[in-house]
Amino acid sequence: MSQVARQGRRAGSIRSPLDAWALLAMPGFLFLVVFFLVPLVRMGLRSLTDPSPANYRIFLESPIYLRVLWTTIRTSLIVTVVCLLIGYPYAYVMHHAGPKTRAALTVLVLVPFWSSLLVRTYAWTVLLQDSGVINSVLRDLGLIDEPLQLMRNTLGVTIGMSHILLPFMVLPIWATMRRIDPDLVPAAESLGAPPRAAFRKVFLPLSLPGVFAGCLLVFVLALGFYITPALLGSPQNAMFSELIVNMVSERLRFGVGSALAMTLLAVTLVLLAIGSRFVRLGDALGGMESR
Amino acid sequence: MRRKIWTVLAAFALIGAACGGGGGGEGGGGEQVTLTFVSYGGAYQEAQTKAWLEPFMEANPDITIVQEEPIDYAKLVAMVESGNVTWDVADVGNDFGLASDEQYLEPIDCSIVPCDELQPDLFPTTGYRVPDIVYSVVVAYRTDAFDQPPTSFADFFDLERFPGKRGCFNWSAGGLLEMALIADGVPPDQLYPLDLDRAFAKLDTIKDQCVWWDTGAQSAQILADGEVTMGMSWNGRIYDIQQEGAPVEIMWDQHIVTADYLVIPKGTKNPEAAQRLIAWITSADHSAELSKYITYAPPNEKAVDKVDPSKVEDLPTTYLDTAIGFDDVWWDENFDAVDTRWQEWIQA
Repeated sequence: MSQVARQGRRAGSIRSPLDAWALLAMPGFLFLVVFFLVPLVRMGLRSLTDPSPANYRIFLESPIYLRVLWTTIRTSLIVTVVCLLIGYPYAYVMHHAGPKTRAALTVLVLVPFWSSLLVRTYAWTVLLQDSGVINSVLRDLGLIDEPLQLMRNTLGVTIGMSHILLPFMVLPIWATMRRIDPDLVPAAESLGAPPRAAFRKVFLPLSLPGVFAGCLLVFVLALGFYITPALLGSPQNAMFSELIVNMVSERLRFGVGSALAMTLLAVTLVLLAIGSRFVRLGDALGGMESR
Repeated sequence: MRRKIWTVLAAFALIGAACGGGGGGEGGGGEQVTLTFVSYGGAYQEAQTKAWLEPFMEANPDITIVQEEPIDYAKLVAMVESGNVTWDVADVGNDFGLASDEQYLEPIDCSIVPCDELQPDLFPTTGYRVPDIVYSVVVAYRTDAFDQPPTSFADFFDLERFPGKRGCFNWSAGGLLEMALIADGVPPDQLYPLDLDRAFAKLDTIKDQCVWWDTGAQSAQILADGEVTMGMSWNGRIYDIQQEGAPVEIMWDQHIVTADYLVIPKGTKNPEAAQRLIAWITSADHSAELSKYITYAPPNEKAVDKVDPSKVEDLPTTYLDTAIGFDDVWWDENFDAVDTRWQEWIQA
């Protein structure tokens, strides 16, 4: 059995790309073409033809579209930074912990993957709202008179989104750390580097590909959020996706909605292009792969 | 190897053709017809099933009704545009089914649907929709928050006599603009066209006290949790939390009455059966049936006194003398402009 598999793998070398192994990728490839690429192209065409490219003038008609686009980018940046500040030390501890602690830490960071986004967001509401658990406890302890504003503002949005996106930061960083030669830091120390310098000059630079990968993943995913900001933020925290939904589902202007969606896609691609100057995009995928 | 790829491709193409071309195909007299009814889901659609759909199927053995949820206008429009209409009767809000949507709808057949009994002055239609249920946009308040209960939209905006946060619907056409103008002294019969400058100026006075909600569930939850002392909601949602024991009352002294409507997507394969179902639901005999299962009232004026006696106090039709109506036709013509202005205001 294992020999067959090995032979199969050997056959799957670069020389003959269209062998049995490549065929395995066909359903996925076809799926993407039929359900992603074709609709995407049609949406792009629609933004130009339903009724005309004047759909893109929507950005001139009202200042809200550019304002919300900026809010979306700003929120995504804040969430990315917060995830990094929490995620890097977390991954570092995971990397150095014993097997049991590491298993526990892995489960903790994966739990958000196993529960629905909506349920988690409502759970945050129960914790953060004026009459919520945190404010009630603080008030009962006599620490506050007026409830703290923990949600319906940028703070609430940041808490909710960071919680959901944290795994996408932790896992690539941890995967990169695992690939760092474990002898390098002791080697640096044996040559006289203090622990802090060994970390800064050896470990940190080697872990940077994971950091960039995590930041890209979190940032790009954050750009498309809207339910969490709608529930934990205020209308001022509305994200660009919400405007797209409004345009398509309430105003039924599919052409303008397509133009908004294509704009968000274009902005995402531009930001990715800028990001890729600092890191090869393949590292982002490589990081996830070794999860 | 290459031939295998083509086999796979051919299989996919076949599946695609089957999906695209299949479905429907009824017609001809006396055959079994399958109608697809789409509504908002949840307790509402369950009540519609018990009150109307199941009795209708019993009385019409040749018609089977299957259901979908939730209604999505964009999906309905996309179906009609693609020519693959799989919904036959749809329950929509008061913001759909007027002039700007007629191109996607079949006209209602008033020779079998009792259009005249469905109070067209209160529930506007241009012939492509009829109301099936009546509900109200209401102000509800915590009974433990005030000594004197609020009695007007003006009280909703009075933060001195009625302190505390307000639950506000984050949707331009949801009723808050109308409430602001009436609170500011505009007589209800002169509400439209809405004076937006005046409305937003009034709204500015409570803006920082508003807890904005997007869904009916949220509107009721923030009242039940005590996040707000007073809030906009829909009467059915408040009834639900009252049953669960929340100390919340509806202010029936002033409310905005409106309806959900039934429409038939253009190009349905079963137009005749769809018209029959709508005629059944809106008839004087059946319009009040829904009130047995949920606190929504009948739009048919001849059915108002047939509602479930135990729910009379909770139905908007009992308080029609204090009700204000939406001008859905004005909204249909002005929604885009008003909604853009609303978003600019709420984002600022």
